[in-house]
Amino acid sequence: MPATVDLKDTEVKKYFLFPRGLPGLEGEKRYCVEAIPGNPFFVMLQPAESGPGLILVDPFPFFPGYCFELEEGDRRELQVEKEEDLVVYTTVTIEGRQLYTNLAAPVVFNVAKKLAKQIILPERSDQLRVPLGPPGPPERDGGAKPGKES
Amino acid sequence: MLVLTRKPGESIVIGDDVVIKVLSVEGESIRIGITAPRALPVYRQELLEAVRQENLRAALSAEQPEKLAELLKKPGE
Repeated sequence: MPATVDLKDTEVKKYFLFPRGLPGLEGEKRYCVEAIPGNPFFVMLQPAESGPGLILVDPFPFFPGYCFELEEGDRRELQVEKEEDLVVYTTVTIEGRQLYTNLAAPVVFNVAKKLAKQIILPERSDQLRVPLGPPGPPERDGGAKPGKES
Repeated sequence: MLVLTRKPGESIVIGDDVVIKVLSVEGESIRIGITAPRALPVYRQELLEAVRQENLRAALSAEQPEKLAELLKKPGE
């Protein structure tokens, strides 16, 4: 594990380290992930809630066909030993009354090593803002129309 | 910033294993070929910027988590 983390051991365990930070939120490299009770979302928080958090969702129930290849360099950075240690979430934005998620830049967590990285997928650059509806939408490749809710 | 002038077919070498070659110039567009190790990510700058903007939007959205469950409901439910 990188020696740069200066929190006490017990606190460190709770946090994932993003060695490269997150694009746009470069200052912070440590986040913890907590489930939001009663819905499929997670919130990713900075230590002591010192700065903005992010909302995450497990994209697979919503987009069953979603998959991507984790490059060798990313595997090394995340110290991947077993696929089962990996968890993938995508970020969620709220715009008016519509939810969107970013399938072009999933966040990959190595639960065993407490390392994480936001991966940028150039081949999905048209899926930065995909409308997020209830799980199991009929269309599955980001072609969903922005749903008008009443 | 280091500024170099190159003609089509000429290259720039960065470090030991990155080569950037100017392939052709057509009007305002310049085609560039990049040879780099697979582990070294190469992105269009706009894509990285778009991810940055999307993350900032996501950070703003995190201030209103109470809206999430409500907005996920099926229209008309």
